[in-house]
Amino acid sequence: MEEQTRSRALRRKIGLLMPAVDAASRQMWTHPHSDQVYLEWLRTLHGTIRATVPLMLAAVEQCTARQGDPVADLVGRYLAKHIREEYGHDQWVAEDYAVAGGDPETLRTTLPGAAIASLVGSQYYWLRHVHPVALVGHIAVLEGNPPGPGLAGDLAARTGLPEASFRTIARHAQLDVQHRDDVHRLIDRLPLDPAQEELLGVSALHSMRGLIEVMEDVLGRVHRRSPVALAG
Amino acid sequence: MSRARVPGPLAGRDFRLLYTSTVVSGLGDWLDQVALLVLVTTVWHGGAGDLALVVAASMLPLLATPFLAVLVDRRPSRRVLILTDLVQAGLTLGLVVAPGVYWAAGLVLVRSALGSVGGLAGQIQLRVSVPPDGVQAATVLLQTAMQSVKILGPALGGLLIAFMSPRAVFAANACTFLVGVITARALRTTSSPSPSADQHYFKELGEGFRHVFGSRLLRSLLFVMCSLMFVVFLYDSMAALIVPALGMGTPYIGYMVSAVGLGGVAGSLLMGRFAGRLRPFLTMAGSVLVIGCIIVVIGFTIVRDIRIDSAIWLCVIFLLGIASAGILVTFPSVVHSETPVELTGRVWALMNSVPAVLNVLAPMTAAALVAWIGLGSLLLLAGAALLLTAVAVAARLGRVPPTAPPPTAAPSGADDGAGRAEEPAPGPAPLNSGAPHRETRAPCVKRAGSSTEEITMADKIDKLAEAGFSLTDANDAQQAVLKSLTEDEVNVLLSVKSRIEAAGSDVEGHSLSDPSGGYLW
Repeated sequence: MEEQTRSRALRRKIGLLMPAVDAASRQMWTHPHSDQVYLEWLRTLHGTIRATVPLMLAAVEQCTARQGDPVADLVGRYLAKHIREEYGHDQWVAEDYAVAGGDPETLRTTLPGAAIASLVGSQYYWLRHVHPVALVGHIAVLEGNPPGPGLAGDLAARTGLPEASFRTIARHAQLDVQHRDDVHRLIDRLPLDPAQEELLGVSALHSMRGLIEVMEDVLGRVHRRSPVALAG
Repeated sequence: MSRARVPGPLAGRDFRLLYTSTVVSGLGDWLDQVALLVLVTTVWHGGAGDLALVVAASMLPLLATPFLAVLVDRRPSRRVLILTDLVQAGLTLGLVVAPGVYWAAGLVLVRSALGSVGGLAGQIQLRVSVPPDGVQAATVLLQTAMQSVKILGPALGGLLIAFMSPRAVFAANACTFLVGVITARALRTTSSPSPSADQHYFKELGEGFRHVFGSRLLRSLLFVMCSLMFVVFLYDSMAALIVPALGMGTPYIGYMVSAVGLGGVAGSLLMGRFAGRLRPFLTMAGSVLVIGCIIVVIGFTIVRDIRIDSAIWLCVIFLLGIASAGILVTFPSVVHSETPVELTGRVWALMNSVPAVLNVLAPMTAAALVAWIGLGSLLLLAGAALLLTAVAVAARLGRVPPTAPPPTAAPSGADDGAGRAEEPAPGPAPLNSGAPHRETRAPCVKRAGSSTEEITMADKIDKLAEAGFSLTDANDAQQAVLKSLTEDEVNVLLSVKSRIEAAGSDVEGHSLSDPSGGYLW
């Protein structure tokens, strides 16, 4: 029988919400106006992905401040390495956005919505006021389900946009497999106490809920931009 | 660099400390017990009355445990552990210079009371030191350790007494308490004081009673344990008579104790393989059934004066030890599973002390019954009672599902306390378990919200099912995860209810084969 490791237990918790996330994801990618959805998705993605490195830096700062905390020590070491791996991904999104016909300058001026603030902002709260291990739950969600290898091609065909505008997805399809395994290994090594384990679970489940809200927000924004066309 | 693989809960630093403390203090208890008996009988030339006084002094504080438990729940477990171990070390050193049996009894009385308090704190500390889904495994580990100590302790005690004076052995036991102080000081976690700590004492006391008697499972478990402990101690207290009645020499009493201990270790390891997957009361019923059959066979053999090879008896007693693990491991698992952290002290005190009080009555009843109906008939009677109990437990409670991990605790940061952990459960110890009576210590955690706000495991599963989560097809591992979900996690899941319901229909009819990658990091 498969050993019940902590990462497996977390994946099972995450799995409880996977049908809902998958449904939101399908709804988004199979939308009749998928090109508009994709552009909106890139704008939203940029809103979160530009916070990736600052978020991890904030967590590292908290980890460093927790001298003698073995969990913080391991999380800090992991993040220090992972920051390098995630650096510059917002630029990838901006490049894809430009290739897809968007103005990268608007990425810097568009106000990220409440869904993004909730998804990312909750992590700032937990890592500052509770424990930086919360961020590991968030990462386990966002990197735990890498895009399928064919998704970029599928979307290019579906949206009619150039394949070059899907490089962020294509790259993550490869990179996140390794990143997923890394974060799972970290979770299994962490000497968590019950409260930290709960935080890990709540953070991950909140991130799952946040993803659904973000994807719903993407569709809502597209709908608000062209309500008549989408009504049909 | 890869690290050596350690069994689940032992991977956690605080549980390792608690476990170390348990083993060391368990060993110290056995040494101490042997030394106390030698001191009273050989050095002070005390008689049965003096022995009874010392034994009573160690048992009496159990009566006070439920009342002291309120105070334990009010304070950080780590601090309680440090304090009780420190004072117990001092009292044990007092035994080194005790001038007579009355002094010794007084010291033992106070030490036993503190041991009980420390035992409760240990239960709480275990819950904050181990993740909820690791509590059962931790219980198994502690149980296995205590069974091992049961084999090693008396042997080591006898060996030390041969080379050292009993007083030197007390000094050695005092050192084990100091190990407890050191390990407890090193703990990083501790429980938060009970949220109701500002309530009136008697109100808090009543909460413990209400929780036990208001919970069908705990109420049933208490009743079952009382019945079992009484019956088991009927024959257990007669072990010194049973061994010669089976045609074996006095040394076999020691061999029997070792066989039971070895069986207990094997049984605990066996239980560890199935932790969280067995129906608790069905497991208990099965164990009691086996024990009952063995006791009936022993009784029948004595009544008919049948002679069987001693080696076969050792094997039978080994089997008895294996069977007893089914009870010894199940009991604490059910108690922890059904008890919120803030009530742990009070619930444990009640669950342990009531059966223990009955144990005091069992030897007297057994002595009267032996005089009246004979030893063999007593065993037949006890065996039959166990068989009936097994059937009743299986019929009435056999359907209770496997125990869920206990509610999560939110341990505070370390304060300035200390601790040792001992094996829990007043489990029926077959044939002269003679376990020394320092209280057991194990796990506990704080759950968000008060006990009245908590949702039970059944509620949790029901609510998730209502929210559209498909639980019927979940395998064992998935079930375990579901049961381990904390209240906050369940609340997040429930907040996505509408999306879960929508997911069922939305996913149909789309061409995208793999929807993953909805978002990136």
